[in-house]
Amino acid sequence: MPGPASTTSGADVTKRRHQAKPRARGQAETPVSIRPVSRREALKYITMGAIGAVPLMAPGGVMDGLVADVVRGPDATDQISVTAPATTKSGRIRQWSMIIDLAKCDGCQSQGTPPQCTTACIEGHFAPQPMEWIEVYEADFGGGGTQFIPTPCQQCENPPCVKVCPVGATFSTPEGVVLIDQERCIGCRICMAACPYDRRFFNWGDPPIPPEAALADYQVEQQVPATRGTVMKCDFCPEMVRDGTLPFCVQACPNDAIWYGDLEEDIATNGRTIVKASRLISENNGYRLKEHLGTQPRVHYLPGHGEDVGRDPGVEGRMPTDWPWIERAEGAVSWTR
Amino acid sequence: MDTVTNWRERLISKTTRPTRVTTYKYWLWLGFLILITGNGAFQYWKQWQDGLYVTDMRDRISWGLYISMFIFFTGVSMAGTVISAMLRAANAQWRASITRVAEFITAFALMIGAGFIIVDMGRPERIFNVYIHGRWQSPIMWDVMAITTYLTASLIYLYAPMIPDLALYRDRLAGKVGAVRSFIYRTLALDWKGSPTQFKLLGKAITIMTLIIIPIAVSVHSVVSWIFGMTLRVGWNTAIFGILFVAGAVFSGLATLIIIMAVLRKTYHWEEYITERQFKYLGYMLASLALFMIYINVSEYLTAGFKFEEGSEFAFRQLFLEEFSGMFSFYIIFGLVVPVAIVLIPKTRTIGGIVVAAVLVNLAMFIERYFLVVTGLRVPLMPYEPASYSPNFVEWSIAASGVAMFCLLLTVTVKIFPMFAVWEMTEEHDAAMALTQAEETLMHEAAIAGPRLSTEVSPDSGRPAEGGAS
Amino acid sequence: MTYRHRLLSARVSISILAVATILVMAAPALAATVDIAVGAPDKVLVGQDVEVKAVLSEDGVPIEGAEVALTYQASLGGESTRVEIATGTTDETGTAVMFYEQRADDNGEMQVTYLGPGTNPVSPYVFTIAVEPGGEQLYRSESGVEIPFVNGTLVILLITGVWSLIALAAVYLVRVGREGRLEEVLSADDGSVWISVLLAIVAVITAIGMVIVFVRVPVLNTDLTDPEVYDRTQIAYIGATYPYQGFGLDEEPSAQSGDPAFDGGKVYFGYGCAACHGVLGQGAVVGPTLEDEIGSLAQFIDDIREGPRDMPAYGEATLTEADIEKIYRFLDEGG
Repeated sequence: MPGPASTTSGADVTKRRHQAKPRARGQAETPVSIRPVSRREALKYITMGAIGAVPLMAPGGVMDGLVADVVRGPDATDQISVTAPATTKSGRIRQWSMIIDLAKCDGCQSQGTPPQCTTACIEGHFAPQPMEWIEVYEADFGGGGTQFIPTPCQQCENPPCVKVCPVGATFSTPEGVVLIDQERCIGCRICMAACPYDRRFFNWGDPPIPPEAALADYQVEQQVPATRGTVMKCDFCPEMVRDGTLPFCVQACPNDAIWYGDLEEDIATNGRTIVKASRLISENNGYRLKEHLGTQPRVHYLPGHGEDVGRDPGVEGRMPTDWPWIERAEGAVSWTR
Repeated sequence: MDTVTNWRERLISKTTRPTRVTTYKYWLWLGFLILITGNGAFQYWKQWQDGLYVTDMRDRISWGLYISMFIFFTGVSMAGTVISAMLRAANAQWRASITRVAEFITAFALMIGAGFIIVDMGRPERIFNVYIHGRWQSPIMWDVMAITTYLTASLIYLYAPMIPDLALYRDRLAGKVGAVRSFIYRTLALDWKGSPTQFKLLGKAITIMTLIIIPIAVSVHSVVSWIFGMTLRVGWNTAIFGILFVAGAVFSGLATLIIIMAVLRKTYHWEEYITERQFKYLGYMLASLALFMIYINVSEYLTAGFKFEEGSEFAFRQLFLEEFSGMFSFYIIFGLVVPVAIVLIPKTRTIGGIVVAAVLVNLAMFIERYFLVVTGLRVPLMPYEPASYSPNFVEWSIAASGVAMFCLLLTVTVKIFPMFAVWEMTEEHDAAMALTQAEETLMHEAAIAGPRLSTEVSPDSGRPAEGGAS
Repeated sequence: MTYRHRLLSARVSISILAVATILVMAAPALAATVDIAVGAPDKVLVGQDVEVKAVLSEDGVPIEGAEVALTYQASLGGESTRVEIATGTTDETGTAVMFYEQRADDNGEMQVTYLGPGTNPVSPYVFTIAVEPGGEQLYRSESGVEIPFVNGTLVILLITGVWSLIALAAVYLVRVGREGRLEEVLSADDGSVWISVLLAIVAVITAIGMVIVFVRVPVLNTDLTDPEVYDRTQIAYIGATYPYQGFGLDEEPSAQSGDPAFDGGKVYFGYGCAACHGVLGQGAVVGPTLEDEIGSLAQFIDDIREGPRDMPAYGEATLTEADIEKIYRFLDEGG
């Protein structure tokens, strides 16, 4: 007949449990102490658990790949994509980047239009309202006056969004571009919480896109057509550069303020001329947004407030962006950010 | 011997009472819960049709009430672990009558909590991508792993100590309940007949689960906090989140347990088993946790506010002075300070007072989860106007249905499963009796006190762990 | 942090001063113009730091303080221009030393250009430097610290250990059931014991399955080389020959440059025809190829107006007959 359970000795307990009185069938009430766990026993169970894990460790190859990836993340430069990233002649992979000259950006005030980079991006990518994958923010200077900052996805080399994605729907390509696979995205939105630049957008409902876009064959580098419940963002248009043209925003900028470049060959072009990227950045005191966060963005900025195109920093405001096909989007909803 | 048996019989009759007697109030309550759950289900169906568009969440505040509910419920799920496993491991003698309820709370709260993650997903039909394409590097994946583990472990941990009681139900309620319940008891009782070998095996299973469920629970709540702690946002980007969430989880878990205990006690007249003592001890735990929570909050806001990094100004302004100041001060005053006062002042340290404290704590903890999520997202990252968010009807409906479903599960459970660990309570009672006996008689007389009392019982080992947990 | 991966090879230092001096000595009879002489290695490796010296003289007299620039031919994104990779200023011997890191795989024609201070145009010195390609990436992102054993192995050991313990507990429960049955076989009259054993087995299998799934799957999914992961086939963007001029989906789309095939291309892309039918009308997953089944112009117009199969119909309001004809011309010539 077991007694109280409050014993400190494991040996006592063992003895007592064996004394449980045999009872008639149907009487299920033998009180048996579930006593405090002794250290010896704890060790025993932990050892058993560890031994259980051993067979799983056996296929070494499986583990090695994982081990390498967990801490560092997939090593982009070791990957050879089946569909071939853009390379130099000797097979070095192009490393896309962007350099945005704020001294030449007036938010298209002088054009009297919405920012042309945003407009072109929207039209080129059929970006659903209200997504501005490259958004022209107007930031205040401390003592008055503003500057315009066109902000695409910063294509971080240490991307917080890629690190948190539970399903690998967002990933860095060997070219250094961060893409999203909308066919895999589960819509948990942790990447949006993780992005320190607010550069990710969610399709809250059926996205407003023109009907012809809805017929397109989905490609991860185009993100067309947009689908509900997935995250989207600037994809850096690497396919366009591979094909011998430039991203929509670069082509559309009336002031040639946006440079698209390859850090591997160290060149950048704004559609008019080509320059050495590192010199362009260093000679103009280039910087990156929120550099202190250690995200290592691939987008560099050259300081300014549109002075090269004659903008007075005191003139504030820009035209709002619009989505030209919004009436033609069938059965879709639109929302505000 | 007689008193013991009578006590036991009375306990069994009290325990099985819900399965035998059902009043109209029960059906009313059930109907009410089903109504709320149904409304939530309807709203979710709408959300399934139209996407998360039907909520008030938007790009800049992309998480809201759903994620708050997720954190809240995973927090509540800590109840079972704390009460059951910690007290079991510490061998606190007053825990037996409340463990079962706590374990049920754990399992149900976890199910509901995990459900809110699915509710919050933009593409719930792709949930299995988490298994097909899962990445270890993601905090969400840690969550999936931790919650799956915790749910499995807590179900086993709930089930294993229930086997003897299910066998009791199987035997005592044979012919008194319907075929379904009979089948459940028969099946789940695993042919239990109380043989020493069975007790030994069961003891092993329970010991293992007691051993591992506490670290698992701590990991779950840490991992939940890391969903936020792994981002670069002001207010979230802090290592204290793990501790804050674990402490907060124990805190709200205890509070939930107190509330549900009080309700069950009142409804089924279990005053004899759930006594003021349990409430007081839980109240002490609640108060000490509240003090710890106050410390964590001071520590966090002082260090962040002293340095005042980029974005902190906005974060502090909204939390202390502007939009969220009401919620924040409610949390601090009514969630942390007042409960401590209620428990510490002898006059208010009654069952009623402690239940009031528990209600306040639960309310405050829910509010805390809500403003932690929303204020973290609200701090502007780029030069734009701060967004605003307030849950709309759809979100409130689904959140309410989560609570209702939680209550519903408990309500139904009460009618089927034993809410008291009869065998553990008998054991505890025996210990108490042995103590009384030992005190009243000489040592040698204890040996003949009755066949149900072990000769090995010594006065000191039989002493109930008074205030063992406070 | 710097990303530049610098090769360890020493700088190539070619002394051309002697050569240049000879050149300068031999030239007094020439006209009084600026002469540029350049000393540079014939061949460099990719990633190497290269030194190029230029000697400037006017009527045999070294020019001091002259600005020179070194350029090479580069192309990117459809552009192909000269890129200035280094500049220098001459010293009292008329020598400017310029350094650059060889990043391009092909320098094309290199030039040293005289920038000033004189205003008379000076024809640049043209030369070539052959490039020995190296396959190694020069620009690298090196983020992350690898700490021994603090990695996936640890995580998986931990998870596996925990799940093994859970499984162990489940096994004990199975044994509880079996124990009850073995001692009193007749008690299993309703077969419930089998259900319980089955449940327990399912629990154990689930536990083991969970571990296996979690151990195995993430490895497969960090591999971006898997073609299933993503495909880079291009659709729906403006082709190389059609620089962006606005899609104008809501505007009057009549593009006019005189060349109907060229304009047709713009309209073709502007309306997103390419989204389904491919960049050059060769067809894609959604839309069929337009290369051979295009038929006559009248037929083509009818098709667009009606929208065969799943294709949307484009009315007169969106696409004028003239535009359709342009598209037809574009497809006829290009596709």
